[in-house]
Amino acid sequence: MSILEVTGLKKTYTTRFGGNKVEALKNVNFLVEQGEYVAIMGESGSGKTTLLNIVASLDKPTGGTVVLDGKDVSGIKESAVAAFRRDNLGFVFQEFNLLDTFSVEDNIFLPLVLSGKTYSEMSAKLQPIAEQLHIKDILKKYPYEISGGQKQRAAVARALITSPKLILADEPTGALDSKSTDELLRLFAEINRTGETILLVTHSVKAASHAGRVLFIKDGEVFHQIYRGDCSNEELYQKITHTLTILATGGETK
Amino acid sequence: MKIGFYSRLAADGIRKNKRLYIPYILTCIGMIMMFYIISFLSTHKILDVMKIGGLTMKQILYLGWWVIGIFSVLFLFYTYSFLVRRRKKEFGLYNILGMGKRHLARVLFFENLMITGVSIGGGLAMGILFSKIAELAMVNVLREDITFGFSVSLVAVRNTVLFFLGIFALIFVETLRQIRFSKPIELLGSEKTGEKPPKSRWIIAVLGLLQLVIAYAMAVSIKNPMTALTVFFISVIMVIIATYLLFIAASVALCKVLKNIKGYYYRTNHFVSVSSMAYRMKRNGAGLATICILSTMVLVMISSTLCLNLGTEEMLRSIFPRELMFQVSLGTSSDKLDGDRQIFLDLLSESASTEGKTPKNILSHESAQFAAKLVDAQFDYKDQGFSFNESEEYWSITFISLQDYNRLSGSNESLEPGEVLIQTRNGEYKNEQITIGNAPAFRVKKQVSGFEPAVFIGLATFPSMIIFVPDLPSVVEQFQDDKMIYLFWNYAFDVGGDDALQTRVYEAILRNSESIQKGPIQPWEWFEVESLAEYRTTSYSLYGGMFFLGVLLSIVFLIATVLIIYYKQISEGYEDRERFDIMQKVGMTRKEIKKTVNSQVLIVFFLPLLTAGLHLGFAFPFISKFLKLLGLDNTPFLILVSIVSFLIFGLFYILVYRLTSQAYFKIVSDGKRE
Repeated sequence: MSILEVTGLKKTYTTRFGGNKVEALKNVNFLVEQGEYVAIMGESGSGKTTLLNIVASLDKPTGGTVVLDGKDVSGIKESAVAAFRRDNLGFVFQEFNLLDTFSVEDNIFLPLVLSGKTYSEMSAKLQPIAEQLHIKDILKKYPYEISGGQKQRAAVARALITSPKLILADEPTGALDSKSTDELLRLFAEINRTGETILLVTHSVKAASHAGRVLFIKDGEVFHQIYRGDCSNEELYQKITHTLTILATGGETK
Repeated sequence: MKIGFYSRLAADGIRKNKRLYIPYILTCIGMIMMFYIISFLSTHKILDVMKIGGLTMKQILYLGWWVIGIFSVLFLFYTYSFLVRRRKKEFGLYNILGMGKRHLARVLFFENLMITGVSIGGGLAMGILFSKIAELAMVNVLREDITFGFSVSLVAVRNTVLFFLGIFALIFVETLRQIRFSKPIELLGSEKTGEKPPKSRWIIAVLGLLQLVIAYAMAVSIKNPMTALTVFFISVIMVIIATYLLFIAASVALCKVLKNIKGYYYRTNHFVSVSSMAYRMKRNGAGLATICILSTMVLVMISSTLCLNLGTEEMLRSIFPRELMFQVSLGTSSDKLDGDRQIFLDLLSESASTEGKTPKNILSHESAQFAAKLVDAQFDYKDQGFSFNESEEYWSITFISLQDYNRLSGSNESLEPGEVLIQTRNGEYKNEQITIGNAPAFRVKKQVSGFEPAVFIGLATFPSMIIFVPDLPSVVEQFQDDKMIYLFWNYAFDVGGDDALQTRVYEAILRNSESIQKGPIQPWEWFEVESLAEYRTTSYSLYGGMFFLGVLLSIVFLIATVLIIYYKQISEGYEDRERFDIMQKVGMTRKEIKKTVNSQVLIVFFLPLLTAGLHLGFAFPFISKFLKLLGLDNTPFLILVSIVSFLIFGLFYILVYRLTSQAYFKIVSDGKRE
């Protein structure tokens, strides 16, 4: 069963002066099945962040539909969007986006507090997640006191704690060193194995090579996709590199 | 060519940071304007033309001149350093792009030159423009009706230009120092260093609270404002320090406490507010405390001086039962009295008749007066050494005969020998007996009130007591040997005419009395005369001048308050922008965010106003006692004036809030479009 259906998605930006139109997304179609781990790859400016923003209901498409778990995202009323996002989506960003006014624990609790959960409920939910992400020791610390990898794990915990239908990750390894990157990717795979659906946007081959399927976006369209099949991470890495080379050299003429 | 380049860069810098610079320049213009106006007024011709109040006004304005001067130095210096801090990143970038610090200094030089030029030029222009209004206001407050043409005081212009050139030079040197001792990489990153959560400094918070309570208690418990002036100033300074401590430390501590109450903290409404409030207070605590102090000063100044100014007539009436008051020393022989009195009365009616008037509402009685120190329930009139700390026990004592009391108050009291009635003012006397020197004690039969003596009390700031005795001459006899007590004949009356006429009668009396004294017999030793008209002029120049200065200083403080508020809004806007974004991504609606942010900003904004109101409330007993000493005994009136001042100030404050919060929301929503 598909958890996410993106059909004919289109997004056109109009520059502020003169009315020049820029097509960020032309016609994007893809499905994400329940429990899948999908990576979307593309160069800067290929429209992948725009795509993610629309899926996340942070932005409205010019045309096409995004259906999450049978519900048309663009049809949700403005007032209900935030609650919808809170209940159905989990976010992990490149810049972590932890609030420095909160301790790690409170940062993770934030979405639950917003949905009106009590402290004991939240505490109970946090325990297993903190265990899994190895952040038990830093829960009482503040973002400025911990490393980038720890910050990102805290952000993942914040994304997981609402038990979302879909986790959206935007370049989550972009600000991490290689050790933290490996650790985070391992965690993502582990989370995926426990049943979470992950949609990852990246231009890092390494990050993409941990996914179950890789979509390539170019000039606002899905250009190609690779299934992992029985490949190991290393083999998938090879395949992705190969595709990227084709994309970069002969891609224009197809 | 090169100079052109640097000056263009400087102009660019100002233009690109106009959100920061324009308010700063406007503030400079405001300060310079006020400084010029006060310099202009203090050298104004009218103050030399005025007979009586000119000098007083000059001194008051001179005091204000100093206050504005010192305040300008501190405030502009502080504000500019805030500006430079915000721009360090830009300077760091220039530095990295290959500009040496010497070049940076050159850019800064041009920048400062431009600001200085615009500020001094604009400030003087505004000052000269508004000086006419200020002049009219001053003349009005002094109740003079002299008019002058439009004029510019070159001395004031010179003083203002020199003074502010000095300040701007100082600011420039300080900026150079800041740039010089920093590394480029520090310059780049100076605006964003990982923010630690504010620590709750419990000791400081508790100390602040304690200090505030003590200071309040001190201010409220003051009995005699004149002698306890030092105590009041100490308590004012304590309140100022306590305000800073509380705003900086106690607010953070309070947030920490709230945070630990899990049931309260983890609620949608409180979660974000409580945690970011601590940060807000940490960053803005000092600014808020400054706003609070400045607001308090404005409120205290305006309400007390306005009260004095509006209450001057009432005050005059309480000190002056009649328009002209005489205290005549007739010597001691009582048989000589009646004939001499007649001579004096003839002198008065003769002088009044030259203006076609006769003395009316006559108030006349004898009295004997001396001052004495109250030590251990005993009045000691021999030791006249006056010292301030003991002076609460320093009493002015007036003896008046029971006969005069009964006649003037229309009552019918009778006293046994050794019994007296007393009436006190500015002090309480609770003993049953009054012992003066070695004389036998008087027994107080009862305390009376409402007797209006024909004795000028003026600015009597120490307690006074009228003792009504059955036999005045024998009392005088009793203390006569020490030559400390004299018998007077007091005579007060109304002329019935305006101030000018009163003054003419007054001058005629002085003239005529001189010719009598030059004659063969001297019917009286000497006499003192007090004129309501003269005193009114002095009072208006003093209280009017104080009120006028109060308004001028309030304008200066308000300009400063507005600028602090504006900068607070701007810096908060930049900080909240990022947070706004993250919260939205995590699942807060824009509405929710706006609501929490709004409520926080409101709390932060109105905290200083409310605290200022509290301060005013605790300063109230002191102000009220002080005004009472000056002869204005009308607490409801003072309460009314204070409340009205507070409301008007509050309205102004809200207006400033509305205007500046637009800047805030503009910055926050700008971030959304990125």
